[in-house]
Amino acid sequence: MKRTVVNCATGEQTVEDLTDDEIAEVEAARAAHEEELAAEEAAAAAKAAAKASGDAKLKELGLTDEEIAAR
Amino acid sequence: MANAVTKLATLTPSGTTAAAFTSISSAYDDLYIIASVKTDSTSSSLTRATARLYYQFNGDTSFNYNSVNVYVQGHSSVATGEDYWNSGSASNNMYLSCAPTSYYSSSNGWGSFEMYIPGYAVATSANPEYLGKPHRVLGCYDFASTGTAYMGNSFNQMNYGMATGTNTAITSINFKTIYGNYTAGTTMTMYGIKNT
Repeated sequence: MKRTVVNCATGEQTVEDLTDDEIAEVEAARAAHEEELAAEEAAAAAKAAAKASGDAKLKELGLTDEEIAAR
Repeated sequence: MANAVTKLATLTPSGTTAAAFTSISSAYDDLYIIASVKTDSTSSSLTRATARLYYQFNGDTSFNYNSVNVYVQGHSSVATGEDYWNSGSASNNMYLSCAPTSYYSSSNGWGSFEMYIPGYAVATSANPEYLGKPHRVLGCYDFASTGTAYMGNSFNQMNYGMATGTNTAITSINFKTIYGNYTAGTTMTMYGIKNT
């Protein structure tokens, strides 16, 4: 992994290697985000399932699709 | 107000994971950064997680960062749009959800952000008002896959961040991608602002 660096004093732009510690940090951030993404997807799926279940129960009570959507 | 805003440097990363401004002068009152960003990741996910980059001040990678983020995701139907916010516990970085992947190859698929850091050069000991260098970021991107932009394909973020470990002048800022490398065409430009 590499980094583009611009020195604001000189305007010079260079490319350098990340250190091993920095590479480990990026990989850790990536892993953390993948965990977060999985949690978000699970939460969204649970929310959608609850909504579908709730809508079905409302329909059984006699509400129309328009009435359900207007809630 | 002549010379109130001075361009300090422009980053044009391409094929690299990180991009950094270094040797930032302390001669100004505030910093302002504007950027247009894209990565070469081919992830197809539309969530903010895959469109993220993160940033750190002065090379501090410890858990010294806090932020409050508000996200608004557009949709063709208001009912299925998504608005939410989070206020995280201390982290070792701060996120920006404005680095879309190259899965969306249309010209619309670029992210942009602007960051404003008042009092970036003020030592906390001199003025506690700037404890943690409070700053704000506005970012957005359009994930249109058809080449047609519309509001339903927009993702927007407001972020208020603090870096509690940064008690001296900010002299460097590092932006790292979560997935992939920056693509050619990515630009980040820093300006110094004088208030007098």
